[in-house]
Amino acid sequence: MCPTRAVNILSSKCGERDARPGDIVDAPVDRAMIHDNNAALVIENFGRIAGASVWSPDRTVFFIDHHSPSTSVKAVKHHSLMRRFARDNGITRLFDCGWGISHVVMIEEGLAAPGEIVAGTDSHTTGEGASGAFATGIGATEMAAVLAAGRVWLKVPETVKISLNGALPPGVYARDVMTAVLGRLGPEGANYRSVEFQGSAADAMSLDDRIVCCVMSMEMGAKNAVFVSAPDEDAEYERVEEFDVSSMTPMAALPGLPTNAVPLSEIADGGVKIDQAFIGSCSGGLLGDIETAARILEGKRVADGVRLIVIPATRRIYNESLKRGYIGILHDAGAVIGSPACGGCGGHDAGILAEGEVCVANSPRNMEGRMGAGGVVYLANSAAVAISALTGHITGEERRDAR
Amino acid sequence: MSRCWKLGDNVSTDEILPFQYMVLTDPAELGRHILGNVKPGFAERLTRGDILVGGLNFGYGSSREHAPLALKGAGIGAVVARSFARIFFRNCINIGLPAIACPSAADGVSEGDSVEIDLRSGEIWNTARNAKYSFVPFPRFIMEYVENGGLINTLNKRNSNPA
Repeated sequence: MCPTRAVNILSSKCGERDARPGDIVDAPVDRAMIHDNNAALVIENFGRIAGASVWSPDRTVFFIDHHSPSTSVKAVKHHSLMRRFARDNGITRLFDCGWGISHVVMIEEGLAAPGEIVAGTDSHTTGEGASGAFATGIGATEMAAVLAAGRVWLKVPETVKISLNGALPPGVYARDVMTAVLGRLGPEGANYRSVEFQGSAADAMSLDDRIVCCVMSMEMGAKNAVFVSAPDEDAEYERVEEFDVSSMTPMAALPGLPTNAVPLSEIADGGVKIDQAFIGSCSGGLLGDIETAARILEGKRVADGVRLIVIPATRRIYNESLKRGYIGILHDAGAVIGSPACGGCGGHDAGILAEGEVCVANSPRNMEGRMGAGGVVYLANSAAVAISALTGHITGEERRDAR
Repeated sequence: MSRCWKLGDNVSTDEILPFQYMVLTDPAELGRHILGNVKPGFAERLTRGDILVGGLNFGYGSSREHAPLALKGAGIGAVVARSFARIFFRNCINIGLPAIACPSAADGVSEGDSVEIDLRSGEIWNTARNAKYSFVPFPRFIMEYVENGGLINTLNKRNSNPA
């Protein structure tokens, strides 16, 4: 039996010959990612550490992506604090307003390399695992200590293997696969665990698909998530879950938890009227999502009374979408196009819901009150969100012409 | 003696501290908005030393430390639950707020019960029901964080008295 990828990375990085699940290791951090939602607390706590200096300005990465461009007087004060702290401490990687969502930019910019340990002040830091890094979320106080010492204690995790085999049917996306996975494992199904995706369907996934899977692994509690192709021998897994993706259908998550999985067809009967459709975030603002939306909305018009918000995850994705004509198509269809940022998914800036309003989104979360007190969020794949924007109620791709 | 408030399974940090207050950093100010989007008025009913008792996977979701900081700011003395979401648990101990995984207490305590918690022995006394619930005490380094009021105080203490 060989160790799992997570155990391997932690063993080699910590200089432990044979770290075992359950061991506590003092892990060196290759990249520390801090964004504007938590930076003020990080900087405040860092200031409380006697005699602290930033252990490695080069390995520290700042993002202004949650309240971007600044959304309030308080938010801009935090941004100023970040810019000043970065300047004073020689941190040159400050991805300011417009660069986009940390998790995706980190991968685009090569700041989450295979085998590296990435710690971020964001739960969806698991997303950086798509590139092969061991990437995990931590809180602000802990990040202050990482900034000072470059290390974080971690319990070596048990690993849950998610085996994905078969070929995805047309109209079924990586997002649907993950909703099915979350539905089976539940919100605590991988808590404290490393998640390893394997199998022919996992091997066939694009980097974007892998980002979706790694980001969404957080919603079952994962400490980190990675894709491992064709291992020589089976590693020591705590649990193995097999999925045949060829029999999958589009999925949705009912309001409350991303794990409230149901077949999309169960709710796509015209019974769920929507006020807002949201395409964006680290799980839904990737190039493939924008492309899918543009394909569906080309030459059409969003239903009266529906607000369609489209936010490409990064400047690079925005630029490519612009070049390929997607942005123009979406604009003409009546979409509101936001600048690359992640605030919309959690109500931090654009697209806050009023009481009683319904949103269908391809973002990662739908907990009560997440996008506004009294508003509810259904989660679905990008195609379903785009079609729902056309019909005005939650609608699946097979009904796209039923309008 | 501490009064208990019961919450359910998978209570997320989105619910504990709603998005619109994440530009705040002062614990007392944050503490006025606990569960603001889902149980308006909850924060006003809390008194210093109260205990939150949750179900499974308490603190699910977002890594926002604002959530446990709000609880601490409101004077919550400890959070007891069947289990905790990973990042929330770390955040709690890093700010010196005991997060105690104790399934028997999560099941046995009712809203309004008074309890006494002994972190060292790993015992929760429910004085209202004359019941005792046991939990595995924190390992030494976590106990150190909790007793020192968090990670930063602990680092400073260690640095001023190197072992």
